Amino acid sequence: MSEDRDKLKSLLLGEEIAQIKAIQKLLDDRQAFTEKVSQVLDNAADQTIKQNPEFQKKFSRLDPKALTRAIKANQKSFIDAMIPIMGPMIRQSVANAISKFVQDVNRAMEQRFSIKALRWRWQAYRTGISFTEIVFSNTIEYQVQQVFLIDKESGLLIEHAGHEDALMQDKEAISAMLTAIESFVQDSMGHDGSHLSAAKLGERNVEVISGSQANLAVVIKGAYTPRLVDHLSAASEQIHIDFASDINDQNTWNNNPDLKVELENLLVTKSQSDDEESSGVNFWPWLIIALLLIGWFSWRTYQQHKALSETRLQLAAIDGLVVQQITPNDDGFLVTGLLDPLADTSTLSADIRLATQPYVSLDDELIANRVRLLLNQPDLEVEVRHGLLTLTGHFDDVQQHRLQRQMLGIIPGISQVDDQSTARPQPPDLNQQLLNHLQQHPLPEYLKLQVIDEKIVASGELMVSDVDDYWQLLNQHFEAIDASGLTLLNASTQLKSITSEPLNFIATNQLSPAQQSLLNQKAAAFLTLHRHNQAKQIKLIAQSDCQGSLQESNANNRKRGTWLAEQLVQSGVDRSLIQVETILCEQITTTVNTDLIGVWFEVNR
Amino acid sequence: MKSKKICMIGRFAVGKTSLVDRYVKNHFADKYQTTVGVAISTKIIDNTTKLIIWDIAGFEQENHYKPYLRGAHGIIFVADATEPESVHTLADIVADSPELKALPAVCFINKTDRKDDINWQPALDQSIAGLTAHSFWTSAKTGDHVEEGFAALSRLLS
Ligand SMILES: Nc1nc2c(ncn2[C@@H]2O[C@H](COP(=O)(O)OP(=O)(O)O)[C@@H](O)[C@H]2O)c(=O)[nH]1
Ligand SMILES: [Mg+2]
Repeated sequence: MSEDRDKLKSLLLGEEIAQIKAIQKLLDDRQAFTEKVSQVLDNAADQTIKQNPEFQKKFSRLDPKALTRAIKANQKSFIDAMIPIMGPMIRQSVANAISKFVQDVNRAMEQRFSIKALRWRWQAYRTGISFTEIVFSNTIEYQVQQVFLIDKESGLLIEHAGHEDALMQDKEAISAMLTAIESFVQDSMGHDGSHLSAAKLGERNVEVISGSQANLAVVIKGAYTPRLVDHLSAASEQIHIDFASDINDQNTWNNNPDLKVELENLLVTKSQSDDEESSGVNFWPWLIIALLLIGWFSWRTYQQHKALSETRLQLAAIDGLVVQQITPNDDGFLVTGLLDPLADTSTLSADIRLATQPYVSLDDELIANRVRLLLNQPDLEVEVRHGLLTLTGHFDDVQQHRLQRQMLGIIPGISQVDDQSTARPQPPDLNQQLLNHLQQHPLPEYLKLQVIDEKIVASGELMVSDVDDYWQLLNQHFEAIDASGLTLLNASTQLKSITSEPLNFIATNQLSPAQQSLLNQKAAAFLTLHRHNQAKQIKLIAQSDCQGSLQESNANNRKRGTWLAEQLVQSGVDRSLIQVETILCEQITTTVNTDLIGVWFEVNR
Repeated sequence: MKSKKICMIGRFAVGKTSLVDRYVKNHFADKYQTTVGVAISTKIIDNTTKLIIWDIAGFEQENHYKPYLRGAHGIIFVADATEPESVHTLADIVADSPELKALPAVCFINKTDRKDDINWQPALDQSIAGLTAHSFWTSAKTGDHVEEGFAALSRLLS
């Protein structure tokens, strides 16, 4: 059976069998297989990465050596990436040194009126480069502006020299940062002894001289030579020898006058050798005369030139003005040209006089002015750009607006109109608002609300207890409610006015005028309370002093009660609401008080 | 005036930069800004000492941070109260740089304002006790105990 199969195989596959065997062998032989694969691996990787860029990340992710290699290949960009971090700090300190330097130079120049200085001023005037820059490039090769001695290990500042004022705050941070950067560079580039030795900061350089205990970092402006670096290295070595113990003693750091002096010695300014010193001929008098002439002449030209260019600028800023000629005259300029009557010339200074012909300008702003004039709608925004007129905002009258828009077509310069404006929204009618409000929140009885002159006017009566909810709600929805006609009622005050005071009277059918008005008050108060459902009945309690005959007293007493009830009816109180009670003399157990003749009031609520 | 170098140690996003900002500028930003390399801030305390605070990034990369720790006078370990893992990171760092054990140190357990997210077990306290005896529950956001923690470290330095 197996023989048959082999036979069949050899019939079908023939010589391929040999090849398959060879492949099998290759797969089994590790060495040979590796060799084979390695021949195609490079191409295969390229192709895979091309199809799937993510693949590369997988490869490089876990290999710190590859990272180090990448950094090595790009040293410069890594240092560049660090510069922005320390740059601002150093620049700030250096800026200070520069300003001091500028002062020095200026003072020196002012004191020394030399031909050279004159020539430089002329150069500065012609080229527009600042005078200080020219002086620097002509006189100074380089200047060491800041010196930091930094502990190599901790990055702490050992001592510093240079201008300090604004720096005081930052010099420690700068030295720490320089050390951090050095660590970073060292870390990124491997530990093969390379150091951060120089970095560029704009037109300044930071040179770091690495010592055994401390680094010397100096900020230099200008073009310095390796000779300076040698000099600094030598100084660093000397400092390491002279101040060995100080460098190791943190207590002396930042407070070491001797060391500071040593560092200050490194703040040098290297001047260019003066090779064209005085020529010996005395031509000062001539020079001065020539200078005065040149000075006066150029001053005048300069002034005129300045005034003219200012005038040009002003004129150029005005839309709708075409300038043909500007002629200086005694006290200003005469400008001829074309002027659109709608142009705004109010910004021109008084010494500019216009002599122009009217014309229609197609400047966007002028077209816009013409449109504004035609529409005359203060709340309509008009904008014109390249012939496209855009209207936004509100207009009052729809009909009028439609007419006006048709007329816009005749204004020259408008090719398209984009009208986004809308009719002014009408404020909703106050009456309607009030109706809506009342539908949701029915009025308490006896309160009246009306709209008078676009204002809500409240009248009638309102119980204090209702004020809180109803009145507040009203105030939230409407502003400026006129409540001057509204009576505010307080139930307990009303109640008190009825019950607090009895009517003491002896006659059975007569009240004094004061008592009469008191009664009227009580009647009114009761009616109000009753109206607002705060009182059901008024109760009169008649009482007498019970002197003389008991029978007579009781009869008088009853008379007093019913008579007073009648008076209340006269005042408008419904008879059914009045209850009269008489206290019979037999019921009185206490000593009779002669003041207690009359009627007391109570209210049933 | 003496300068003292202080290093902030802790894993990514525990709030090292925020704590320094709170202490030095009394300011907190919600937005996360990755520190690149090292950020250095200074703060003068009681006119005799100036702290040079090294806010170091990249404790995830082995060895990378070591050069920055050289010459430090004091250490602030920072853990995140909402992330127990951050305590383990501290232990790993100290295991890796045993010389840190000799330095005065405090530990800030930060983000305590996020009360609902705090995720803390007693075992973590023990872990921290292995680093320092001085720990503070801080919040860079509200400023809670931040000043106090820095002050405690400064006292240990003198
Ligand atoms: N709620 C809260 N968030 C914080 C606190 N401290 C830091 N964060 C936030 O946590 C994130 C990481 O902070 P950061 O200081 O940059 O961490 P670093 O990587 O350790 O420097 C930032 O989004 C911060 O706003 C804190 O005390 N409370
Ligand atoms: Mg950070």
